[in-house]
Amino acid sequence: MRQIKLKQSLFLLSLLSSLSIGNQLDAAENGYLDAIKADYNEFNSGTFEPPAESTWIGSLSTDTDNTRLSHDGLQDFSLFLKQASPGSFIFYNKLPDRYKDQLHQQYLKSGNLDEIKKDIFNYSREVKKQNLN
Amino acid sequence: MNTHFKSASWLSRLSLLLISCVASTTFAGVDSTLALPAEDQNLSAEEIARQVYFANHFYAFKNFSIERRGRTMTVLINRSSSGKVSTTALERHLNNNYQLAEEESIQSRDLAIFHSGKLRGTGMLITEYQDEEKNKDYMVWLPALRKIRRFAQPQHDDAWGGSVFTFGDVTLRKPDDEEHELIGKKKLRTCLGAIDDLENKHYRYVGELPERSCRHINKQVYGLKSTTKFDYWWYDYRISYIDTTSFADYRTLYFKDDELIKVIDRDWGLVDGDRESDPRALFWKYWYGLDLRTGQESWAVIPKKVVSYNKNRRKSFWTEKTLRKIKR
Repeated sequence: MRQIKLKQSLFLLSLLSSLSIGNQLDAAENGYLDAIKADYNEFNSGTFEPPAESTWIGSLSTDTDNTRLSHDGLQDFSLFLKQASPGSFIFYNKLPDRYKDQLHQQYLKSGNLDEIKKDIFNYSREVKKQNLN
Repeated sequence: MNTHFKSASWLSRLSLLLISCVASTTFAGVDSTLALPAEDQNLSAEEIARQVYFANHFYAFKNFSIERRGRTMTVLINRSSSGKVSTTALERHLNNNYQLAEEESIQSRDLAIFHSGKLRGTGMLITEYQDEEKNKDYMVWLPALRKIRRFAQPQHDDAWGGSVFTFGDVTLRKPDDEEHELIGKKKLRTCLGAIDDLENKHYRYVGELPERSCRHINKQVYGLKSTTKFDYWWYDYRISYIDTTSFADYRTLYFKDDELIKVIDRDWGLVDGDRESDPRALFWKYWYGLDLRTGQESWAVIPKKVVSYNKNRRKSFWTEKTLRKIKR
């Protein structure tokens, strides 16, 4: 009888412990922890060795969600804008490169897409006025 | 005569020592006058730590608020190890503008009001004094009693709003509480964390939750190792990734016995796109925390809509009067 009770309590204990590390496993399974460990190791080794097919390193990899791009280059940013706001992209695409670069830099700093959209229209108006003159 | 001369010189030495002690104490502190270092300046680890404290306490602003705009508010989402999710909506107002003679002892006042969850209707007014040795004042409005109670300053390792973040992480930890060492300079390589199954989901109070932030990838960061001076502390040291221009700390990794035990990621945005403005005039877009010992995750999301700064608000706003007006 005692043995049965001991087995039951052991089973419950293992069940509880597996539940308690559920989220930890979540974070590990989605590759977040591997990615940050690889990032941290660069301080010691001097080279970054990204985990394979990670969705946390800002590359397109297997994930087709382009909004997760690093937006580091202007091309990446244009691609991101095309997906996030196709309407604004039409106006953005017609802008001279220096304006595009300015918008990209602003986005890197503020991360505020709504402000960027407003600026796209302001710049479009500015360019239109310049062309009329 | 000679003895008198000797005692005078001894006294002057003592007074010099006292002055230098006072000066070094003042120097150790951080306030809104901390200058932005020149771009080509080589900074020591301690100087970097002070700049990070400046950015995190919003000293670039006279006042800074994450307020309530209609139904939109800041949310703090906590997910326990069993997967249970709790949400707290809150607003927070910080005032750093205390310069008049009669207010000299005050460094800043911080008002937090909770609008949902177990803390609904609770208000907290925190006063920080210029004297570093003096503890902060905590006044809490308890809605059930409809009374204000004074509390002792919480411990650095107490959880903030039941989250992964401690009071030390959010506000209490000062540069002098740790020893700092610069471990290198490199590019940030990864996106910042987020509760991945809630990314882009519609959520009460914020409209839509953001997705993981990858904007900061390839930005140049310092690696700062900060070893705690506290005995028997919950972590031995932490490594922070700090932007070399804006001093935004994007990530902090906590280690105990050389094992990673906790991660905090912070997404920062610049309030003003103007290139001439102070690059440290930043605001938090979100905080994400993961405690590897418990599996608990926390995500505080601050919609841009609710951020305001340098508002013409009376100082009486940061008093007990506002606490008494809180509706449950």
